[in-house]
Amino acid sequence: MASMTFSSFHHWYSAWPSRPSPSVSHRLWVRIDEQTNSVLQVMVETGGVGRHLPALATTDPGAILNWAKSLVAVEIIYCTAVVFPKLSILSFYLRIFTTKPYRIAAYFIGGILTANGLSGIITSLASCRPLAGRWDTALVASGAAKCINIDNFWRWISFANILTDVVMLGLPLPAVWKLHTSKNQKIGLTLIFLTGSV
Amino acid sequence: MYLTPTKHLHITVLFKTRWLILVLHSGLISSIVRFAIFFDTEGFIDGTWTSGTLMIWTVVEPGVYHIAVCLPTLRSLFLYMFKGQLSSTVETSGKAYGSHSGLNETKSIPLVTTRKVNDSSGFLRLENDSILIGQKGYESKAYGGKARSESLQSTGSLEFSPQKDTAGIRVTHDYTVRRGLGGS
Repeated sequence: MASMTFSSFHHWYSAWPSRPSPSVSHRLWVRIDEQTNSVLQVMVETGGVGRHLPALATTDPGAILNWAKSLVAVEIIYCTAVVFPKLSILSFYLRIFTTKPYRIAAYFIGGILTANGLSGIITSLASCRPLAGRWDTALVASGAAKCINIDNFWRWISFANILTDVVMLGLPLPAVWKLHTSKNQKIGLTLIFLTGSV
Repeated sequence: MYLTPTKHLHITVLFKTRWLILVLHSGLISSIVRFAIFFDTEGFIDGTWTSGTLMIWTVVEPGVYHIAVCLPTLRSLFLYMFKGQLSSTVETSGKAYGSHSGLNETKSIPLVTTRKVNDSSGFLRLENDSILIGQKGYESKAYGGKARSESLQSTGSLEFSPQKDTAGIRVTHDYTVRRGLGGS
């Protein structure tokens, strides 16, 4: 997932109109890509994911600690990983749309995406005060650490993604309606964009 | 139908993005699935067990977006893979009117030609696809074996009739470009 974040960042970055030479950014991307590992793999290998919690508590308590810690990492990487591909798609839109309202809309959605990603990272880092409460159950039990409802945080963090997805799919539609084609063709094109059918 | 260069560029790019739209839909679907599954699951009751499902969908969602973003760069690969199958058919039909000075007779000759153009002309970046047909009358070069002619595909047929009046002979040309490989 981390490598996905960076490679999509690369795409987003290289799709931007004013950029340094592609070879430089590409090399940068490959370098970062080499050095990142999938957190999910780490979770399964050292975090005991796929086994039941009571079983782990007796056989491998350290794995639970690793699992709880890697959850914080997943949250942060997920929030980043979702933003960059969508920014890339938006920069693609910006190449197509020349009219000002569309461009403003595209930038606006980009702003929402970035804000959502940032807020996710901040929420993740501030989910427990101190953050050690995320993996240290004794801290939470004694009241020394206060946590938010992390289940709800996980649920609602992707809600903005669904909304921006819908808006991004609808964004090219006004451009289609302005084309000088017959009404039937416009209806057909609208259906293509709404259903994604070929 | 006459399209201004900008409009034509729009059509070109919009149709090129059909697959992107398609995958964007899968992105939407995957994020909805993730949303639903996270609502269905208590993440911290037997957390290491439920994490499997939850994390898979957490990886799938950015992954699908990632595929959507990477697809444009794979275009040249697809063109290479479907070499020969991806082709455009250019159909020309028209009429030539000629009038003799003495007989005042108008004769119309139907002209129909069909030409197959291979799409696989190598690597094409998206910004290179802004070929503008109908900018000044027409340029038949625009159809010369480039993948860009597929931009005309789904409008059904894009017709424009540049008319020339030379020495009493008027020739009308209608161009219909269709893309191969089952594209609509």
